[in-house]
Amino acid sequence: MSNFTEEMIDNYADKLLIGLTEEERKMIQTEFDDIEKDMELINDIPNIKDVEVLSYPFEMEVSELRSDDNEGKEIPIDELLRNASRVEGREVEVPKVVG
Amino acid sequence: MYKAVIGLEFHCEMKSHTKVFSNAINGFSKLSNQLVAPLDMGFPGTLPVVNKTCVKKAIEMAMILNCKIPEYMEFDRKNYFYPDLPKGYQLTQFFNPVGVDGKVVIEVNGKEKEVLIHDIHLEEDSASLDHYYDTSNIDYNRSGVPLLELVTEPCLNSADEAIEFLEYIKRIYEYTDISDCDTKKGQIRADVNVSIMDNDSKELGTKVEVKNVNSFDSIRKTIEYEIERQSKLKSEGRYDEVVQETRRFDDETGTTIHMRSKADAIDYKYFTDPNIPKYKITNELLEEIKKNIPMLAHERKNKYISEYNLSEYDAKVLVKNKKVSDYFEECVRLGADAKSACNWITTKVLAEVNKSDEITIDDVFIRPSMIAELIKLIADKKITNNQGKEVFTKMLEEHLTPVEIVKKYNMEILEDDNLVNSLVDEVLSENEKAIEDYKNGRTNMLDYLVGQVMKKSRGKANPVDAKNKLLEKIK
Repeated sequence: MSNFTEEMIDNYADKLLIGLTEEERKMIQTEFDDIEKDMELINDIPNIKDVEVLSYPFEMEVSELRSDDNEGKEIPIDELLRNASRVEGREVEVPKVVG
Repeated sequence: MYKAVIGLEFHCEMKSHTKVFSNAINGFSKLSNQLVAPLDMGFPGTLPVVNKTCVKKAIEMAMILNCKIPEYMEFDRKNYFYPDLPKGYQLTQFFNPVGVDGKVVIEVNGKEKEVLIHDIHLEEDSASLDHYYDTSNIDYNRSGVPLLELVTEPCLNSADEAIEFLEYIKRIYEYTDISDCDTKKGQIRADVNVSIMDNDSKELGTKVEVKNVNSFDSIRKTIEYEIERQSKLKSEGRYDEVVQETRRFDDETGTTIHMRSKADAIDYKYFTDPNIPKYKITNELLEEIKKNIPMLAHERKNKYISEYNLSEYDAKVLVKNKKVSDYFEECVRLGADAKSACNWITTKVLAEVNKSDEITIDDVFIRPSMIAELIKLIADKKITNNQGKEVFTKMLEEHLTPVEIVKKYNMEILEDDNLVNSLVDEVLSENEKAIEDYKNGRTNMLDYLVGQVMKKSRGKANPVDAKNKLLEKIK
């Protein structure tokens, strides 16, 4: 039995400003259940609450940054638009996002 | 009637050659999707690499604002889902901004005002969207452009204070070359937080946030409108209708409109970006940046007053815009007398600039070298002050230098003493009545006689010289 109801998933989708089909909702519910199981495994680790958040896999820092002088190659327009399902001229087209 | 409390979040696009996390050019292109690297599109397998110039400029600004600077430069992910954000998160600084707890003192209507800075942080801009009937189009040129966001404490109490503060910050950005702050290119945006409270109260009122206001004029109108709206509701006993919400400014009506309530607030789930290793801000780097901070507007103003004896008012006019201040300094560097240069710039040159919102002092044909040349012609008594004004007008009309105008119109003051003497004699012989009247006490007749000499010389005689010669001969 899943801890995630349809309403909960729809609410998350709303917050992300996306709509889900029935098939997508079921898929996400399954994924969430799997993720929750993994979380429970982690929660079972003794004293887990005392472990500090780790931002990097190991302690590392850099002493050099990228020079601003050299520009790289830009993406050719046909490459840039290749993955877009809808295109208008040189731009990617999406359903209107403001009222 | 009530005390207004205002806090500002001021975003400004930075100047750099490349973007903040990718090596695509940071520039303006009329062609959509031209200045885009794979990272700016959020393509899988790409990694952000931090631009050193942007980091140095961010630290420089934090220093100028008297902020505390952290030991490490780190970036965090602000997660939200929107078509202008292809990665699904914005790289920003949430946990450890480049500057915190700063303070500056500004002057508002002749009084000093301390403005507290909560923080300043470096982040990337999103792509830009154009909205049509039922579609929105995405242009990724702006995606990854470096932004500095400055957040004040809620310590401002009027629209005047807010605008004066933003003008002060804008001047710093311009003088340090961190940003052009060009509103026409959408380089500045502000989120404005406004609340009101009873004058004797210590409890802050309900805060309303107005998002994405993109000009100083609109920021002023936003603040004034919100103070009025909230005060009216409070006076009518309807203060419960002022709710914590996000609104937007509507240019057409000059009002603010509800966007979303606090309940709909997005949880951005910030966390430190593990793809960007932290960068140690060394003392050597801080020293290097500090050493290279240029003279800022208020420092130039003080210099103009103490070194050039300019009035406070004139000095303020000159430093208000860096390009004008640079223009003035170039005139002085070329040998022009500072006071004369200031007069020509504040009266004549700026009058030209102010004729249109579309031009700056750099667009005016008359360059500092020409102002210096014009001042020298007058100082050397080659032309009179009045002729100088005529030369200025003709320079603009004909796109010629002062010397070329003087030569073309044969305007040079007559230096031939004999010729001036003969003109004076002619005038005296033709105006016996005027001489008699002068001797009988009508002293203004002398000006008339000088005018006659000027007329005969076609404006080329030196009027002071002509006057002296006339006086000598009338005796």
